[in-house]
Amino acid sequence: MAQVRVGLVGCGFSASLHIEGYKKLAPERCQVVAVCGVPKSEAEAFAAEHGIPAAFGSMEEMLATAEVEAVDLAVPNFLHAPFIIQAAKAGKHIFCEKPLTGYFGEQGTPKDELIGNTVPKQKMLEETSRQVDAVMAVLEESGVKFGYAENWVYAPAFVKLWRLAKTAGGTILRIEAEESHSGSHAEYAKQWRLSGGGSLMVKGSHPLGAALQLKWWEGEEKFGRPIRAASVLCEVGNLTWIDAFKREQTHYVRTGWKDVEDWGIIVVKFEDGSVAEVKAGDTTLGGVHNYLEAYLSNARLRANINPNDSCVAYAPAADIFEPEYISEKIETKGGWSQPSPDEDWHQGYPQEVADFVSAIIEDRQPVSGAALAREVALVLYAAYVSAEEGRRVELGPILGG
Amino acid sequence: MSEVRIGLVGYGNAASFHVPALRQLGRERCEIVAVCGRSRDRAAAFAGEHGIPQAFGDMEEMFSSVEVDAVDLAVPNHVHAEYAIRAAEAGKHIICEKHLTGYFGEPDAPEEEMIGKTVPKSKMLARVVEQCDLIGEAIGKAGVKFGYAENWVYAPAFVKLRRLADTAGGTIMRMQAEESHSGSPSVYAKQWRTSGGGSLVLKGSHPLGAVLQLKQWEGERKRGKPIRPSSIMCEVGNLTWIESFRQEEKHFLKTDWKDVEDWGIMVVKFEDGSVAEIIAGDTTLGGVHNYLEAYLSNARLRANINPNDSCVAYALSPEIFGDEYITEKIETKGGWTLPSPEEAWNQGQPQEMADFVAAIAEDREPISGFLLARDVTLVLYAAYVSAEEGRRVDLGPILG
Repeated sequence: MAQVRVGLVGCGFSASLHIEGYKKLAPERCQVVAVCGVPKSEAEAFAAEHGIPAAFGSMEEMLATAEVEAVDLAVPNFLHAPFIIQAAKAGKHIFCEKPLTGYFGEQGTPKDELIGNTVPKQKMLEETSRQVDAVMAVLEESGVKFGYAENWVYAPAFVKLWRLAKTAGGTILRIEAEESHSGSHAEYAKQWRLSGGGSLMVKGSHPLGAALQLKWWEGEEKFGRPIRAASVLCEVGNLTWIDAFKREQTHYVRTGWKDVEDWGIIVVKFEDGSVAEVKAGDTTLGGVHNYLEAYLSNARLRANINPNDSCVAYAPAADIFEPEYISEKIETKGGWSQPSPDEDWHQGYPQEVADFVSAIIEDRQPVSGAALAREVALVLYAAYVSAEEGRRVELGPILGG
Repeated sequence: MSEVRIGLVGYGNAASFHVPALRQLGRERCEIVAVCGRSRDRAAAFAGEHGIPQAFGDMEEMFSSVEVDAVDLAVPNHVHAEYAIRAAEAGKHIICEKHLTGYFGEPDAPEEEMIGKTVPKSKMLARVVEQCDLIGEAIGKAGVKFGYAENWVYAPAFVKLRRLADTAGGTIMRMQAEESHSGSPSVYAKQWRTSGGGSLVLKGSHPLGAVLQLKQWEGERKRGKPIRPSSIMCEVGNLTWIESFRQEEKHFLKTDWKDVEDWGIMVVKFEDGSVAEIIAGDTTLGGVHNYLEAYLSNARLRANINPNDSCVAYALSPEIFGDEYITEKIETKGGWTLPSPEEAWNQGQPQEMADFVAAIAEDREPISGFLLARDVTLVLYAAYVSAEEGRRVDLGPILG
């Protein structure tokens, strides 16, 4: 029998990413023994496709019937917090997709309300803060492991960057990081009610998580305690709402953003005086653009998560490489391109799953855990307050000591 | 006789850069007929060294003794405004190094006062607005040409980027641009009294000028009038003041910034809703880092002004390349490097001089002119207000 039996909650895009990670692990270490989803028929189809023994129509049913040590929450963002609380109370370890939680409207809010336009960001921050507190309290009480699926923290280029930074030992003065591409395909990403925010939430959470983690580690390494974020200044925009853009006949970037930004920048100042520039956009052509650059006092480091030039290709016409995969969101296979040899691996997907399973077996917290998840959620919503109110927001009172 | 006779004002570093750039244009196009400066002796020494016929201790004396069509102001920033106004009043065309002007303290402020700490940025901005208005009026009244030496606008990679953007025709939605390196060596850069600001003024003015120019062109091409910046949010910092940095035994970065920032970021929003992210720092290792990236709706373009990989080198140890120049501010010649084949050309320095002289000879406005000079100056000081007060600043009332 496997040391860790996992119940997968959800059967969409994230679920298929995670299942590939679990499959790479030795079966005696870990096995996905059940999957649940709504409607049950979809869970059954997913189970059949991936050879999972049991399928259920709800998490309650799965937890009551199947023997699992851990649940993998691959569900829409607005369900994260209630599912975490439920699973932790049942004593299950939790692996959760980002973000930890967010603001998705009130219980009675109509489905079509554009809450990104109507609800003040300060109120969103307060609600999110309450949710985060509730989640943290339950996790503490239950003593379960919590894995926050921030794959950037596990991406090989980022791991190497941190090893070099640690060896160099210089002060991390400045961090620059970005995740952008030409726009999410999922319709849920376009409305605040379902996504909890725009580019910054859906994409920016990755580079933000990695930047916060770097300074956290630097502090622990040098002073035995993390270096925390102290203030945030943010600007957001809707570049696909520019008049001249709207009038163009062909659109190569996604459109139809309802009440969420399609570009944003967060400038974080840390308590030691260092800074981070975190960018996210749904308006960038040329394929996914994921990188983090760290400017140390005695070194400069760059992690090109995607693209990187480990493989370089050129084709005089776009159909020459059909149907071979090139890289995420690249618009054409013609001209010069940087095909990704193994995109999941470069982005740290199998590695994050492996760490979560190891953490349970070795009875330790995963590298990316609840503390980072909490920090990212709160800094993001503080950033939205900054952008809406056009002012710098101090993080001390929000993040606490 | 040359088409354009130039009187050089100043005999420092900038002046030495400008002389070969002007000489490249050929004697029938332009000639440096005289040099002047506060010290007649130093002006004479500079003239002797560079083969300039005459030297003067005063600009007006130069005007009354020699026939000059234009002045090249290669003097410290804090006297740009004064010289520009005097030259315009004498009816001379003007080539002006950046910056147009800035805030350098009240006339009676003590030399050692840390005005970067003591004077509110909103007061600085108000003074700079007044100065810009005075220069604008003087130039307008005299009808002289004003060439603003923003070399980025002339850098070949940037010019190519603009041509591609023009051809693509898509909306310029977002721009990202930076000038950074490991720190200015000159002492004057470290105190507001002599520099008029920190990294943003000394370095950020280049990428800022380039992005403002791009949106200006885009608007002129598409709707017959420039697309103007509408708001700014800015953050500045002193990364070399971080406690753990100070405690390090060896510093590879310049230190001792007195009352100016050594890092800054400006986020500009334009009236059409597009954005620009401009970064400047004196805390970046690895040589000068000058680039501009433009994200269009149907194209993506990047100008790697410096470094770029037109030449790539590797050496097992730094001494292997001996005295051969690699690139500005690179800390070691060891390992992989990107040597600059011809740095001044890559940075657009001879090209800007050629355009200024051509503009005067052909009676047209230079590509980089007074509007850009004024916009850059005012946006920079509005950015300082934003950083100091921790709020977004609307540019409409400031730029008019």
